[in-house]
Amino acid sequence: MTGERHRNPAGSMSLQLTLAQSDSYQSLLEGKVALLEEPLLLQEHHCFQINLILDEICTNIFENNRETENLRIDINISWKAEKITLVIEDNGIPFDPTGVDEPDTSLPLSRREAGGLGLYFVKKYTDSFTYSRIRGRNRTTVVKSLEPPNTSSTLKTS
Amino acid sequence: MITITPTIEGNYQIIRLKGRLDSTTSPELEEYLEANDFSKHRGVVFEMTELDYISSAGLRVLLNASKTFKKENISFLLCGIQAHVLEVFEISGFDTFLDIYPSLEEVWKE
Repeated sequence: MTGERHRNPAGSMSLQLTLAQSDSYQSLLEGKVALLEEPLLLQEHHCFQINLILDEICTNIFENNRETENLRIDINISWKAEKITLVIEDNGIPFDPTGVDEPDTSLPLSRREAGGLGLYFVKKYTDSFTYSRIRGRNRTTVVKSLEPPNTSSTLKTS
Repeated sequence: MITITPTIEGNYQIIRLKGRLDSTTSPELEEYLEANDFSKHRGVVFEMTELDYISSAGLRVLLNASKTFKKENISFLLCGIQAHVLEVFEISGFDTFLDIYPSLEEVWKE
C-alpha cells in the first residue's frame, strides 16, 4: 500500500557560525539544510537553492567583516505550511544586503563583472528579502515558498 | 570540496569538476587555471556532470577564465551541467555568452 507523504507542517532549527568557522561554513550549512529534507520533503533543487541563499548571505557577511573581531552569525530556519523562513543575524558592521545594485545580466562577456550576483540570486530565489538593524545587529530575513512535492521549478521570472 | 581532474583529448584539454564550487573551493580552481599553460590546446572543456553546487564565487572564476581564454583565442566550453546548476547560469545571463553543451558527446559532434 502506498501512502501520500505530507510535509511536517511547522518546525524550526538554529545554527550559529563564528569567524573561526569561516573556512568551513559551507559544509555546516549544507549539513543543516540536509536535515530539512525529510520533514519538508525537499527536492534536490530546493536544497540547492536554500544552500545558495544561506551561502551567499553568509559569504557577504564574512567578506564585509574581515576586520571585525568576534564576528558571530546566528541562523534560524523555520517553516510553516508551504513557506520556509530564514533569519540571519550578525554582529558585524551595519550593512543592508537588500540595497545592493542588481547586475545587468544582459551585458556581453567583455563588459560583464561577477560582482553583485550572489545577492541577486537571493532575490531571484525568494519571495521576500528584507533587512533591519536591531540592537546593534544586522537582521536579514528571507521567505521562500516551497511548491508541493513532485512539482517543478520555483524560479521567479521577474 | 572540489576535485579537478584534467585529461587531454585530441586538441582539447578536458577539466572534470566534481563536488562544490563555492567561495572556499573556487580559489583552488583559480590557482589551477593560473598555474597551467593552455595555449597549446585548441580549447578547454569543463565537464561538470559531477559538479553538484556552484555559487557566485564559482561563477566569478569561470567568467574570468572565459575572458582570459578569449583573449588567447582558446575555445572555452562547458558541458554536462546539472539542471539546478544550469539555472544559476541562466539567472546570471552567463548562458548567453558561454558555450554550453548538454554533454561531452555533443561537444565532439560540433
